[in-house]
Amino acid sequence: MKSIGLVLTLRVSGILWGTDTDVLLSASTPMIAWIAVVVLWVEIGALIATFVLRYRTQRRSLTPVLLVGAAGLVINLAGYIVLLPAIAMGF
Amino acid sequence: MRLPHASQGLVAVSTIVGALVVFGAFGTAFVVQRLYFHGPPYAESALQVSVPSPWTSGQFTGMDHFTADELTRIHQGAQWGPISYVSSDVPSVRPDMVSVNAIDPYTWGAAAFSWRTHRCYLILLALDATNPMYGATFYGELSGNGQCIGATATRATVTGAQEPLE
Repeated sequence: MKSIGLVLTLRVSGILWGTDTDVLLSASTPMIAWIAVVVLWVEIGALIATFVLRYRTQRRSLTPVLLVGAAGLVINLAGYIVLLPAIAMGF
Repeated sequence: MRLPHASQGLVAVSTIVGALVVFGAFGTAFVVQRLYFHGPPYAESALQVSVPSPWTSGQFTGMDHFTADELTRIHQGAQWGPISYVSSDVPSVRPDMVSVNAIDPYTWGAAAFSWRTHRCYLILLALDATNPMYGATFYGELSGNGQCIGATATRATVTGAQEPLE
């Protein structure tokens, strides 16, 4: 059940990041788009670190990974809400 | 062949890490492609599709009737996306808002403000008054300090043969 939740969280998070970045590329400066790339790699880095830590400590629980994934989702969702006016304008 | 339990875990975590890295690489490639390998620049592409044709059924109808109202009425450039046309004294504040300067039957200019570079881009179609079959399109740009109005697009100010980088 948790694995399905994790896959869904990462999928929605990925879609939100793609939408946010698409709008930023159309309506903002290149620097802001590069910040979106940095955010992506920080989120991916956190997920990788959590997975590796889980493997090294031989834990089976997916809860830490799910929490990190959810944090990324919240960040991407916040970006989506901030950019909602530009998204509504079709950028 | 069954792998030992530890190896199974290693394979699983390696696969997940690999998938995440691939996703990140795709995301980065998406941004690089849009920033450096995009099609026509944004405000400039809006300007390009805004330029109307003065020819109707082989007859020259002039450029001066292509005002903001007329371009709005005929949905000029609608294939590109929704474009708002405003008169020459109204500043453009975004790429898809084109400030139109229909100067005379042979000269038509416009301006659009780029959010990408915070500069104002200008376009001017200048036709030969003796033979309007001939003419040229000129380009220009203004810094972000002044107002991005179509009135600044004239034969005297817009003289570049090459599109400036946006």
